[in-house]
Order: sequence, then structure tokens, then C-alpha cells
Amino acid sequence: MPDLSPLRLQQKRYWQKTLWLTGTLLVIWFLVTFAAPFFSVSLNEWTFLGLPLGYFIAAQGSLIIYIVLIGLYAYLMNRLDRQFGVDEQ
Amino acid sequence: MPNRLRLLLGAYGPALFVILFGVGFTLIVLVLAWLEQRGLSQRWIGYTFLFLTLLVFSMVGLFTRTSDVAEYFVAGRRVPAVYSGMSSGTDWLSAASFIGLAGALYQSGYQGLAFVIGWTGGYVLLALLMAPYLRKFGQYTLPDFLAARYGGQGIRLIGALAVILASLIYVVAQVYGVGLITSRFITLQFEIGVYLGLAGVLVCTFLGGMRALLHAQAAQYVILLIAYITPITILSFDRTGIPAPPVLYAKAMHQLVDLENEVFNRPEEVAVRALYAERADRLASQIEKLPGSLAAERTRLSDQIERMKSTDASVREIVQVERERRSLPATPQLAHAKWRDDLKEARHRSEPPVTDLESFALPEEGNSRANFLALIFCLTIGTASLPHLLMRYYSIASVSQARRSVFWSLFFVALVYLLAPAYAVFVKLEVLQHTIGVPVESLPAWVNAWTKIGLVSIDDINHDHLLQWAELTINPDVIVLATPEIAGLPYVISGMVAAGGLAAALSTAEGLLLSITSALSHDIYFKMLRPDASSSWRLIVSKSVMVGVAILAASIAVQRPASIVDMVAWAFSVAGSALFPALVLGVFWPRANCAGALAGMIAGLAVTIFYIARVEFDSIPLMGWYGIGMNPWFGIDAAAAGIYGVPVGLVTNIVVSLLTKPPGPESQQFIERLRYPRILYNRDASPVRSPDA
Repeated sequence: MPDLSPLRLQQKRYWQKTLWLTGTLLVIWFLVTFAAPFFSVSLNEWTFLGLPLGYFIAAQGSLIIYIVLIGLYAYLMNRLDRQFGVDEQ
Repeated sequence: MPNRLRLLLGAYGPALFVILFGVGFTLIVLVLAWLEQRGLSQRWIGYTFLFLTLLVFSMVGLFTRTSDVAEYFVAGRRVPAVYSGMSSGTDWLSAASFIGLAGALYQSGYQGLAFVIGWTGGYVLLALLMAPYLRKFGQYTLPDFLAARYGGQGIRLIGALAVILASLIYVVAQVYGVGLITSRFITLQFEIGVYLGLAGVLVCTFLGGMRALLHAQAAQYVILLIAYITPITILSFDRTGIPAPPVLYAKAMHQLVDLENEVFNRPEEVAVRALYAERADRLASQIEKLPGSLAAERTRLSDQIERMKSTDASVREIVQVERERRSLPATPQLAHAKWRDDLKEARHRSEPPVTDLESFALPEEGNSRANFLALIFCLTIGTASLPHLLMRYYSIASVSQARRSVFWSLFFVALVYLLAPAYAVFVKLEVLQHTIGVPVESLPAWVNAWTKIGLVSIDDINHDHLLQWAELTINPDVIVLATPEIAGLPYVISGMVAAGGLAAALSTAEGLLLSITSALSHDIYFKMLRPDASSSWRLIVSKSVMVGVAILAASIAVQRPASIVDMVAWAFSVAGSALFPALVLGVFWPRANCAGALAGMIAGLAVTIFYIARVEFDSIPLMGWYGIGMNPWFGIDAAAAGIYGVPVGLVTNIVVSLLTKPPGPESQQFIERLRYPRILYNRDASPVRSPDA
């Protein structure tokens, strides 16, 4: 028999939101990590800070995006924890 | 008010420690710089830096010594996020990052950026898929997690073996880095340097375990960062007038690419490459005609010597040919291995070099792109499954702190990585301007210093007594260490960089030793062999195991099996293919079961090891295997072996899990508990909100 108590549902929603956030961030991660290098030859036609864009993304841009992604994840997840009351004290 | 003071120190203690340490280190460097002007010898500067680095570890180890198991393995789980982030960032920044990364960029230009992307991109996987869940589980080791999730001692054993193998390959690379630094900067023998460095590590981890690591690594980060930033900032300021290398090296980059285009197309460079192509063809035909060609080669050289003796050739030339004859491999098997390596190198040198901005080398554009992406894949997956890194998240105070801590570690790691491309660009510019086309006799002093320990070599193949680009081999591990010399900076800067490299190598070695030790003593000894062992006995066992492992690592490192970056890449492939599928499916796919995980780990590990062994080595004399070399599948290098290992492990895990019984209710409960930082309900279906405690 499925457990349909409110708390159970609440947890389910929490987990779904977690998966959504994880998935979205992973898609961005995938684009930066694999798609950008794959198309780097074409990206190199643009320049950024004096460097070809494809090179810049690989050398520095990706790092900065990763830091932002992780920061965003930490912030949003910790907020989600509080919203659903599953945060540790 | 002593109590209030202690409270204040408790809150700001770590920050205070880091700042004081940074100031102290800078002062010491300044004093040494002053002493150098007054005539202090280079050797003593080297000694001072070496012993200073070792002293820091030992002092920290001494002050934080502990005999409590929880303190020893997980530092009592009450570490603030910024501090643990800094410390695990240092754990991460290894000899490969500090010494190897800029070298890889120097050597392969854009291709080398796979390391930057892979090593930092892995942190995203770590943050999203691993760290919070491992913290929620909160025991001591990775095999603990596997055993709790899947049940059974078999998975614990395989997990422990994978942890040990990956960490051991990785620690060998670090120890090799230590040997490299000590042999250059304090002219110790490579072997002695290796053992001396390990002794320093041991004192620290031996006494204090994870708690000592935490503080020692924060201190090491300070040394490391100052040492990495200073030389490149001075060099950049000197050459461009802009003291901000990571952002503003674009101008130097364009200058470099123009120069590369000019140099690589000089007629003498083209001629030298043709000579290497010839040599490669000759080697290829010799290998084909083995074993007869070895004897033929020997007679050819003997005849040449006779001929030279009968004519009026100089003694020096005769001696050179005699040496060549002496260095011929003794058996056809050895010849096969040696000539295969020589052939690889000659082929490599005969290819036109790629400029730094070119994304993928043209003749095999598809292939180099595939290798690039495959390497990124292995490094990201590996980063998210390296045991010594994952273990750190057990030591953090809470799940939310664990999430923040990953952010801080990547932040501290990135400060170093952002500078690496600038290193490669400025150093390559210096090398091209000041060594290429220069007479071999009057090369700058650093070339000789590094040639002596076998890391730079010059092979004047066209006998014109001028150096061509294709004739110069610089081991990539040299680049960062030699930067101050190449730029003509005072020796104290070289010493400082060496100290930074040592700090990087030793701090990672510490973390790795601790993870191997805990796998052996906690998982295999305590959990499997002697569950009734007392906690003091467990610590004694783990400390003696640690000494054994350290000696083993050192004795492998003195064989110099491969370059630092290669060894590290193997460790990533091994860790990723064995551990990643089991860990991620363990958290996100409740249907994964013990049989699936076991099969997946074994299959992934087997494929990876098979691939590395057969593509990279032609013979493994230790096992009596000869002629095992094979051509890579789809042209993927051994460094990216995980591109085959990880998917095989993942698919095997899923298929076997689906074919066997679903895991029992205790696995389901276990996963439930992992998902929520705090559980909301009572398991007996009476939905009671647990009291906030």
C-alpha cells in the first residue's frame, strides 16, 4: 500500500525538486564541458578579452562557470532544505 | 577573560592561523632574498626551503596528535566550510596540478586544456552527485558506504582494493614529484629525496591523521599559492608591464603564435623533422625484422667502428659509436620494447608542431578531438570518485556545510588553475626567443642544469650545432620549476617554487596515504578480519600499515615508471571506472543491487587496467610479460582508458542488477535516509515530525 501521508508527499516533492535542480545544472555543465570543446574551432571565430572564444572557454571561462554552478547549487539546495524543513539544525 | 578569548580563537582561529602563516612565509622569503644578495649559496637556500616545508608538517602533526579514532579519520566532524574547502583544495592540488598542468599546456597547447576542464568540471559532479550524500551517510571510508548500501563483505573488499589501487598509482606520482624537486634543488640523489620527503609526510599523518591533515594542508595552501603566483606575476610584469597574468596574457599569446608560425616553418626545422621521419621508418622496419635485425644492427655498428679505426676518425667519434653499440638492447624482447618507444618518439618529433591556439591538430583532427573529449570525460568522472577527496566530505559538520565546502575548494583550486595557461605562454615565448637557433654550446644555464638530471635533452640530429625546436625535448614536469631560472629571477624564487611544489606533492601524498591506510586497516582489517579489535589497536595497525604503504610507494617511484601527468591520468581512469557507477547508482537508482555493483566494479576495473597495460607498455618484466603491446582502440590514448572502463562498468552494473533480485527493504531505507538532510517521519508509519535536536 503506498504511503500517502502528507509528510511522505512532502519528501517526495523535495526529492523531485532536488532532481530537477541537479538535472538542470548538469545540462549546463555538459554544454560547457563537452559541447563547447567540440565546437571550439567554430567558437574561435569570436574573440573575448583578446583571446579566441573557444580557447578562452576552455582555459578560463569553464572554470568560472563551474564555480558559479556549484555556488548556485549550494545556495538553492540549502534554501530548499529550509523550505521543506529538512535542514539540520 | 580566558573563556571569551578561547571562544574568539575558536571562531577566528583558522583564519588567524592562515594569515599569520602567510605573513611568516613571506618574511622568510624576503630574509632569504636578502641573504642571497649577501652571498648565501644556492644549495643552502634549497635546504632552507625543504626543511621549512617539512618542519611545518611535523610541527602541525605534533600539535594536533590524536589517538581518538573519530578524530584520526574524520577530524571529529566539526570543520567549517571555508577552512575545510581550503584544506581539501590543497589535498586536490597535487604535483600534477602544480608542476604538471602548466607543463602539459606548454607541451600540447589547446590539447592540454583537457586537464583544466576535466579537473575542475569534475568538481561539479562531486558537488551535485556525491558530496552531500556521502556526508549524510557519514562514516569513515568509501567501502563503508558501498557495504552499507549494497550489503555484504564482497563489495567492501572490491571497493577497498579499488581505493587502494587508484590511490597507490596517484601517490607514486606525487612521490616522484618530490624526488624530482629534491634532486634538482638540493642536489640530493633522486632516491634519497623520495624517502626524505615521505618521512616528512609520515610524521604529520602518523601523529594526527585527518585532524593534522586539515591544518597542515591549510598552511600548505598558503605556501603553494604564494609560490605559484609570484614568479609568473613578475615575469608577466617584466615582459608586458601588466602584473595580472591570468586575465591579460592575450597579447603575449598572439606574439607567441606569430613566433611559432615563423619558427616551425623554417627550412632547417622542416629538414630536422624529415630526419626524424627517416629514423622512425628505420625503427619500424627494424622492429618488423626482429630478432634478425638486432644482430644486424650490432654487426653494422661493429663494422662502422672498424672502418673508423682504419681511417683517421677522431677518438671521440669512435667512442660515441661504441657507446651506441653498448646501449643496444640485450635481447630481442627488450629491443622490441625499446624500439617501440623510440619509434613513438621519433614519429612524434617528425610531425609538424601545433601552435598554441589551434584547437585540434589538422592531419588527424577527428582523432585529437576524440582524445580531448575522452580525456575530459575520464578526468571529470575520476575527480568525482577519487577516494582521498570524497573522504574529506565525511569530516564536515553538516550536509549544507558539505555543499558550501565544495564551492570553496573549487574556488581555491581555481586560483591556481587560472594562472596555468599564462605560465605555458610566457615560458614558451622565452624558450623560443632564447634557445631556438642558438649554438648548442652557448645555451642558457638552465638548459644544462636540467639536462644533468635527465629532464631536458638535446639531440643534434642534423649536426649543425644549432638547436632546432624538434631537437629539444623538455619534460613537461620541468616548466613550472624552471620558470624562475628561465626568466632570470633570483634563485630564492626558484627555491620558493620548489617549496610550493613540495607542499603540493606532500599534501596530496598525505591525503592519499590516509585513504589507503583507512581502506586497509579500517575496511579490510577491522571490518572483515578482526571486528573485535579495540580502537587503540586499530590505530596501531593503521599507523604501521601507513609506513608500509609509504615505503612501497617510494620503491615504485624510484623506478620512474612514467611522467607525473600520465600516472595521474591512470589513477583517474581506475578510480572512475571502479567507483563512479557504483556510487552514483547507489544514490540515485534504488534498483541497483549488490550483484550488479560487484559485477560493474570488476568489469570496469578490468577493462581499464587491460587497456592501460597493453597500450602503454610493451613488456612488464616484473610479471615476465613481453610483447603485450597493442594498438589503441579508435586511437584513444591510454591516459583516457576510462572512456571504455566507465561505460562498461555502468552498463554491467545496470544489466546485472536488472537480471537479479531487487535489493531488500533495508537498501530502500538506506537510500531514503541519504536523500533528506534530516528525516521527517518515523519509520513505523506514524508520521511524527522529529524534534529539532
